[in-house]
Amino acid sequence: MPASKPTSIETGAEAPAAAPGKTPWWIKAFVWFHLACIVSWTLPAHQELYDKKRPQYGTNAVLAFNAQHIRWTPIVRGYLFGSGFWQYWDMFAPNPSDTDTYGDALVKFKDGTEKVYWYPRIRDVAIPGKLPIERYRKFYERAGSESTSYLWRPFAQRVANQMYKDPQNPPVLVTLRSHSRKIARPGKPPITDYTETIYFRFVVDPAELGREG
Amino acid sequence: MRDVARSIDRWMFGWGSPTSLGLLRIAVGFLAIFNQSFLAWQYQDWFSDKGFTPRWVSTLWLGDMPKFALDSSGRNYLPIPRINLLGTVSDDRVMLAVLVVSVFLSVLLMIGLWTKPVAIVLSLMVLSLQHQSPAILHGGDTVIRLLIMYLALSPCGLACSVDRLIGLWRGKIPPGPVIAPLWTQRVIQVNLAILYLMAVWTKWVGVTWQNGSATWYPNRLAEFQRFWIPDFVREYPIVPITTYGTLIVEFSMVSLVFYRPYRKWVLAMAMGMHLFIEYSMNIPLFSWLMIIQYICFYDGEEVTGWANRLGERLAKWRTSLNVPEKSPGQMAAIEATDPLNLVDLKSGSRDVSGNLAAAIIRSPGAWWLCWIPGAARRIVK
Repeated sequence: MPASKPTSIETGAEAPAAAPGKTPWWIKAFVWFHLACIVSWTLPAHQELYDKKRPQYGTNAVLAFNAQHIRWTPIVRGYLFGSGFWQYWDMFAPNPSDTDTYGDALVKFKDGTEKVYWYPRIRDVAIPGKLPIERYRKFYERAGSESTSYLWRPFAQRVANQMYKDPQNPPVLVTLRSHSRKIARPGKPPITDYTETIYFRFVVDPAELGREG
Repeated sequence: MRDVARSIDRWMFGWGSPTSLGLLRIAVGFLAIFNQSFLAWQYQDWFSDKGFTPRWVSTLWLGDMPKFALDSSGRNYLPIPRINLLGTVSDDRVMLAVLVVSVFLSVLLMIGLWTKPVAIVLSLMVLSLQHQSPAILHGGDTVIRLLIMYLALSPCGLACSVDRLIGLWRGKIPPGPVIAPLWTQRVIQVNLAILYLMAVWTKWVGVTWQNGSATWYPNRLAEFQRFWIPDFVREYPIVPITTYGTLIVEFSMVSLVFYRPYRKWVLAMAMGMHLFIEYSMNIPLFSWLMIIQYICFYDGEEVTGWANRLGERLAKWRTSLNVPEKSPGQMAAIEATDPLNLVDLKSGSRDVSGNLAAAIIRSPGAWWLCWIPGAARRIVK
């Protein structure tokens, strides 16, 4: 193909075809407002920064001012939540997790038998299958937590519905279990055993089986 | 001071080639296909009232405000309405249809067909889906949502797109380089820098990041492991090197990356970090979503310059193609599919002569035509 396009001598890049236009002032104002909201919202805002009695110094004073007076204002929160530009960037922070956790459920049926419900677990899956099921791990990170205990009931209901195969022998009790193992600190012997914790027992309402959660 | 403000203004709101945005759009569309497909595959678990997260969960999740952030009177609490066009949908089949359509729109975004409306509709869909089931979101979801929204605001359809080829073909776009406002590209850059700044800032208060042992832990979490890594990588003295190296790389992505002589080295280090995470840990799409944004640190003119230089290096692979008489716009459209200048195109022959398949292989802008049998031949004829 003939190299007919004009190029810049310095960079070898194409030269612009037309003179640039001017960006209107309101776009500039929007862009700076947008970025200011993102900075305010994503700045560290741990609980101690909200303690008005505690004196804060240096960068902590700035963070405390932001947390107490800017971050939760209807303007910042309203803009980011309302527009959909909300974001959080605290990956592996302040410390990476030192606990391996996975969940499952023990399901008891009307005839007294028990079965374990397998909730997707990254470690048990071959490499190609790991990618799509990561979302289950992420969800369990939240669903197994005390602070979001309202997720336990729909979780147990879903388990009961999925284990409901025989109308003569329906599930009657779902026990949600968490299995965790601490990662030993450097220099300490590794911990291989998982500790099982039962955190929710759900008595299945037969009328709810197969219905929406 | 005024000069500094003026140069920041020029950088932030200047005009230039949208080629980098066009390439970013292709990459975002490609990754969105995977993300939305996975969601469609699991729709009963995440988008059904019979699933793990029925609709009422999202109301609780999104309305949540920590008690410590409320002032004593609770006056600063104001429920914020979220964009969710699916809030009243309870039928699983509708949710599945929406997810399938979002996969299709991701394909259109990738190839750049009807780019602006597609990007706007896809933004609203992704936003609604994320607000419908917020308890399942990971970092990759947040990044992909932001990128699609930024692309909807940007002139990303003006370059590397089917829209551009159609415009050239019909004579609605003049041949030659395009320039457009690039503030969306700058906002993506700055947002990425904010991401790294906050990532390093929130880590800095962590004990394990301070004492150099942070990377000891994630590499031992069975629930994250992907491919095999040699033991020494997970042991001392590599652990403090990777711990502090992570902080250095992340901080460089806020600072040194904006200094042109260091830019490529900083980006190379950041890519190395993300590729290692991608290889060793099961954190889907996040690393790729980070890496594709690095293209925004290069101006479109620089990218075009690379393509020209690469084309010169590959000159021995050039081929020629003779096509029947075409209008200048049609010739420009065919030429635009060949960013590396590897096809010597001549018009005026009676029929198509030369190796059409070889010409298509050398023209990345025409690869999408391979999915439509006979389309390439019909176009050049």
